[in-house]
Amino acid sequence: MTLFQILSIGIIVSVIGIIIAGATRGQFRKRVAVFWISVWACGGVTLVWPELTMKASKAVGIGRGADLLLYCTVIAGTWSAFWLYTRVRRLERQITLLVRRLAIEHAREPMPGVGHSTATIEG
Amino acid sequence: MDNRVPSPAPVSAATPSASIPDAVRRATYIIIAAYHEQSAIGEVVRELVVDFPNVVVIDDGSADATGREALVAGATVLTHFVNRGQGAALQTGIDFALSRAAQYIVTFDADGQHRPSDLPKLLAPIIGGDADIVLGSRFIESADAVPPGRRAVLFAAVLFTRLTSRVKLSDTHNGLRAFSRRAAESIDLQLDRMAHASELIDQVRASGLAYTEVPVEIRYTSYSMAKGQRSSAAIRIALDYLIGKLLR
Repeated sequence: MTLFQILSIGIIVSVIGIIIAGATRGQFRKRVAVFWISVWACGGVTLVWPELTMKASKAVGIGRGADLLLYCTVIAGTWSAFWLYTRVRRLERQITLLVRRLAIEHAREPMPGVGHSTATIEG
Repeated sequence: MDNRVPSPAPVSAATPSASIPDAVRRATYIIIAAYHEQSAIGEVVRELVVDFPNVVVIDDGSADATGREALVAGATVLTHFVNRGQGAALQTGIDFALSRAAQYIVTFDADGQHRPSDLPKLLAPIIGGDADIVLGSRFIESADAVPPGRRAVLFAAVLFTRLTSRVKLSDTHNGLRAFSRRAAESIDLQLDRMAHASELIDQVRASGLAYTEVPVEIRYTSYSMAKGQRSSAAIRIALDYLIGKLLR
């Protein structure tokens, strides 16, 4: 095993440990923890057995394992960007609705005698 | 099918506000979205409250004294505690007006570029039952006062609206508009920033309610030109609108 592999595996094991600890403390839902552990574990497997990516890439008709990883990264990156964008839009919408509700609930009426007071008209 | 009705016959001079029945004036809510307008908003409100008692200013997260100036001048002030954009502010004003007894809702710019004397012309088609939505246009009559650069961008916006919304208007980005209550109830602006102007036109068309354009005059001052959108922002606004339309 090369030094690079040893260091990388060390990092991956630490990250998986942090995820497990977080899930135990209730910081993540179990499903989320399992997803991220799987992602990091896959990374670990390809580091230890790089020939596996070669086999996988050949199986799907791509010449090199590195190309398969690149394509997967691009797809995952694009999907993440879209997911984050829609999530940010949803959050923005929720902030607007919240700000609007507060603005209407705390409307400040003009002082009586200034211009034409709405209070006077509606009263 | 287009729900546009012909513009009323042009009038040469501004109609006096006194021509509007008192009951209509009391039932009219003028909505002004304002962001950092402390030097202009007071005068704008004072001009309006002379004839229209219900002026509502939405202070859209200004760090200056916009809200206080508007309140002192006689407006009801709604405060967005963080800036949400003109579209969001106008929708806040519309929601507020609908929660009151508003029968007529007018949107008006905060920088002093609109003339209160245009309001009777704007409200007349709604009062007369000819239209539910009236859009102000600076291009029906003489457009000489419009600076050339601004005219080119606005013309591009008109073409863009014809392509994307299939609505033929002469001035798609004029902030001076009037709505009947039922028209305002059909408006639900989801695009918080400047792209709301195109979204609003989509909703006007989708509502199936009759709409028309009337000539209005824009007062271009160095202040209003400095406060207005830069021409370079047009592409960002168009993209904002298109993405919003795709993801709706």
